[in-house]
Amino acid sequence: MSDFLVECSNLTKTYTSLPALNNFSIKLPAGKIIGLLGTNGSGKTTLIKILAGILKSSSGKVFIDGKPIGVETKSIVSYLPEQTYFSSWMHVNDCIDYFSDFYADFDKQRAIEMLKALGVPTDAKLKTLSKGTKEKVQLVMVMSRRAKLYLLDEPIAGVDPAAREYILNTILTNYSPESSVIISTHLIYDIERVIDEFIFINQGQIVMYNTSDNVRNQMGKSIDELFREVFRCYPNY
Amino acid sequence: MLSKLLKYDFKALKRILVPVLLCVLGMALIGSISLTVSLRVNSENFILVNMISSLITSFMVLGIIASFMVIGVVILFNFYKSFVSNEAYLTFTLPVSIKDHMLSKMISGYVWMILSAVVIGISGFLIAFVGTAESGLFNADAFFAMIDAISYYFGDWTFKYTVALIQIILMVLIYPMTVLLQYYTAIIIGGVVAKKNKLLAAIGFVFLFNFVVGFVYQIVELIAFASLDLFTETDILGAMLSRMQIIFTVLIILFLALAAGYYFFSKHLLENKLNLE
Repeated sequence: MSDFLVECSNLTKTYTSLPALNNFSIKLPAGKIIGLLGTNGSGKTTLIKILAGILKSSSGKVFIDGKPIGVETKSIVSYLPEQTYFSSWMHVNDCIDYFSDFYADFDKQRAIEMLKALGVPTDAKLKTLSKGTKEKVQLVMVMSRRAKLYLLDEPIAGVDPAAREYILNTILTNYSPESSVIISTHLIYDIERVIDEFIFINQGQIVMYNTSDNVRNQMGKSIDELFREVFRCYPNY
Repeated sequence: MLSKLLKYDFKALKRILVPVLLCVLGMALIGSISLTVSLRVNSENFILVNMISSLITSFMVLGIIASFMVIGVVILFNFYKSFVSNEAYLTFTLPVSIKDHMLSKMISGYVWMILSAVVIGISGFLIAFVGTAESGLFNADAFFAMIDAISYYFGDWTFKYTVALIQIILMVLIYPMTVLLQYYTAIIIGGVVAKKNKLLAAIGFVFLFNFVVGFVYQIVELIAFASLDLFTETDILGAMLSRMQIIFTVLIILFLALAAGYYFFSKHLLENKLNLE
């Protein structure tokens, strides 16, 4: 068994001719909350989709918990996409039953408690809920699993600040030494306090992989400040 | 996991198809009643009633025919939603093999197709034998006339007929699965190939597949009947039957081969080319 939870070696994904990931190699440990940070089109979502098993890489290798992407890794990976994926005719209760049926690690009681805390009625039809509330339902389902790897693609972008706070606390309290969380987001300031490590990614390649403590203690900066420095946009005159 | 997938696929289809099939039965009932009225109120004083009831019957029959298309679209759209739309993000992150995903969609779609065909058959029976009853509730005369006609044509039942009957039953059972897989494959290709407008691409591939497969069927028919000369043949019925048997055999093999080809090609695409961009 590998010491690392996620191992990517020379991972490349090209759409038409442009590489979304370009020889991307990284080894990520268990027990960490990792921020995947980059500008638009930098390859964050592509990497997450490959890890979730819904996108095939053009070349390179990926292992999660020592296994190649497949049915086995899907049973230990909990993925939150940007898209809302439940059918609109389903009730919130149906979503709970669905996850209970397919995921052995799903904690039904935890899901009900989280929904209650977020003020989402379990008997509501998804069609009647706002986009933000649907996203909350989806996030609750994903975070109620006892997975080894959580892949969260923009988990807080569409929810209100109060729910954002609750979600970040949930991610923190979900901590287990066996599992890691990879969060992709633009809202660096919001997630800064929860992440242990971060990856700066640009044009499908790693720009920086470091710990939050190193940045704060050695560089004397916040990750948000460092991000703005590294990815500064210069006006064209 | 297959049983769990089946549970949700049946549930998703049941939600729409049960009301559709109930509508079909309702239309058959209304059509039967209006046909009975038009047959029984056969007087010059009731021309308007007669016209309206005939019109209602026609609409109901058209409605029943259209519902078969609606059922097909519902089954295919359910497949499209699960495998190509946003719902695919849920479908393909489940810890389930592609084989189980495919089997679940094949079984649920097939069962609903057969069930729908049975309901539509019952509806046709209702209109044909209840709607045409000029007295009482059932047109026994028409029913027994049909039995007599069958006995007349197939009275001297031979082995040839048994083989043909088995072939027809096999074709009726295999063909819906082949068609279902043909459409599923077209949708998957559309989903893999197109960056945007995946639904449009899927519809395009459905037409392309229909054209190619239809062309192959035509060639099979042409070859089978090429040697049949209606002017010189003495036993036309026998000659037709033997050629039909050749066609049936070729078609059964073709349907099975196509179904297997569609299944393995779809599985290959989903396992190796899945791109939820």
